[in-house]
Amino acid sequence: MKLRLRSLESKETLKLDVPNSCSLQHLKETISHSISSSSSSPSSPSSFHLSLNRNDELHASSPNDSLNSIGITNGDLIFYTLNTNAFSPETLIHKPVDITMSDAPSIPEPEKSQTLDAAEAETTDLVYGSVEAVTVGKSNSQPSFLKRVLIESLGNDVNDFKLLVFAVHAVFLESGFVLADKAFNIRPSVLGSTMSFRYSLPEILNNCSDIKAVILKFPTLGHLVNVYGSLSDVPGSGLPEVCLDKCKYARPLENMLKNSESKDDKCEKEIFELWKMVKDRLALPLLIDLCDKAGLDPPPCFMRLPSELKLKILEYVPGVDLAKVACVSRELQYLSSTNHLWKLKIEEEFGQIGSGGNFSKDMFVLHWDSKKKSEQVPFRTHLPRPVRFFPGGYPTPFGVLPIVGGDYDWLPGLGLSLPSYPPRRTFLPPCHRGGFDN
Amino acid sequence: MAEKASPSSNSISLKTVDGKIFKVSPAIANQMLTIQPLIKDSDSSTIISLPDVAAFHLTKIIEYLEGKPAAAPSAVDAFEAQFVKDLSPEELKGLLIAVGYLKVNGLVDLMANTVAKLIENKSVEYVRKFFGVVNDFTPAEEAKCRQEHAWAFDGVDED
Repeated sequence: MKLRLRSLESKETLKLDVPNSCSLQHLKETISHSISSSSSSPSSPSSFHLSLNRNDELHASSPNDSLNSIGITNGDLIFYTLNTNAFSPETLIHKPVDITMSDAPSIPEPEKSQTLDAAEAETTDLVYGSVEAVTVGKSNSQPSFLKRVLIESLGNDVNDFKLLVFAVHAVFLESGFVLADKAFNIRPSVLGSTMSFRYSLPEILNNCSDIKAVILKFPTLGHLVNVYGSLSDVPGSGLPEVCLDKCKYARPLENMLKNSESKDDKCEKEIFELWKMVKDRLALPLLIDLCDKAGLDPPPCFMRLPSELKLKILEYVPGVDLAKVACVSRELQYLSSTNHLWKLKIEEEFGQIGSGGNFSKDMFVLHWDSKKKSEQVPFRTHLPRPVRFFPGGYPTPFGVLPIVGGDYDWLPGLGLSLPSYPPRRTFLPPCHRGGFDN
Repeated sequence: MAEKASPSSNSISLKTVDGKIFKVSPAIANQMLTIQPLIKDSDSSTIISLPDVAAFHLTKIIEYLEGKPAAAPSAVDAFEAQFVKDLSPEELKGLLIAVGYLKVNGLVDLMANTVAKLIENKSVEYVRKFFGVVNDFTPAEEAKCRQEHAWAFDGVDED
């Protein structure tokens, strides 16, 4: 892959072409080599510090990790320095900082969001490094964005109203809006129901003297928070609005803030509903109106579709393609991770499997793998019935052959895509339940 | 074909964003759930304007609603297959937005299914290009995501 390496101090840029399997250490050696050939002072490879965003140093969890595995791709610009303190070595994930809104992770501010992204990259490293890590981790990027915005703007100063307001704020930031007045800070302490937020788009703020913006207002009525949106210079123009119920949405948001690993399906569902409602009924209509007013191109065609329709399309996409769709963008990653979809996919691919239970992507992957194994192991396809792993010692019909559900080790090479599979006990495909309960 | 719809007193006029006016029978208009509530209050003189729908798309929608056989599912399947066969991906996307806006009975599912078929077995890059989706992952996030979904790529070399 081709990489550009820029010195943090001299801004000098090197162009290197390294093999795809190149490790971080190897890259440093290459840099060291090409610099020492042009200057008089040679420096050892280990004294180089690399960063993608000038803030966080790149780390590999093991010396043999390829550059790809730590997130470097062809064409990337990497900063390097010899100064040990130039990059911060580690940043805490979800560091609760009590700051004002101007520091919140609005997407279009490259520096801030990169810091946060780097925090996520670290999560990646943790997952890679851990033997116990499940390969099919949950990746609901939207809630984690929501959560970051909430944590960073609210800190410990939480009440139901603020939770809802900042949840809406997060959806707007995620949709591409930025606060129209850069000097204007949303301080949680001064939030009231008469507050209004002005949002605009980075393109408008940078290029137009006449700033077009949308305004959000949050009048409350008992336990209901109404959110009204309007274009700044068109008062009362077909006001899009949503009505948020504090009783319904505040608890899930609060739970999400408290537990880092919330596995509560109901909460997730409520938050998804909130996100979808705000996005479809407020953020997207306002975004389209604003683009229209400012003479900008409307947001891309497919993404302009309401989430409802996008979900509809995803319902028709086979499970294996759904997983690829998840890699397309953050929003699609979020949309394609709903349990409802994966329940459909499980039923589609593997037929009706029991009733109730927790249907999710993880389960689909388990089924998928077991199906793949059974297709690749010739004996198993002739079985009158599926072999089931019995902890108590089921008489295996093959005598010595160790084929019991989920043995990845007896056919090495099949597990290429599953580098660290969880312990076997987690592999109990529920599809074999029912009918075998002696 | 829209114009040939019976010009009876109770036909509904629909105005597209590019200014064309279509007269359709209430039976057809009633299948567009978005305008359903407006139909009750309208007479022959009212024109319902559809800000999100272009004439081409409305023509297609009416063609679908008028041509769809009422009987045997196999006939419906054949008709639907023929209907989407004539659409380019560009037209399909536009039509999907129009159909989504109007909430046309049956057609939403057909469109969604057709779009879904277009991205089946396609690479991530293809889907991005096809839909004009901006990749907002950082390289690290994308690598992580691909790692998590490695099972779906299954030996496909993505580089």
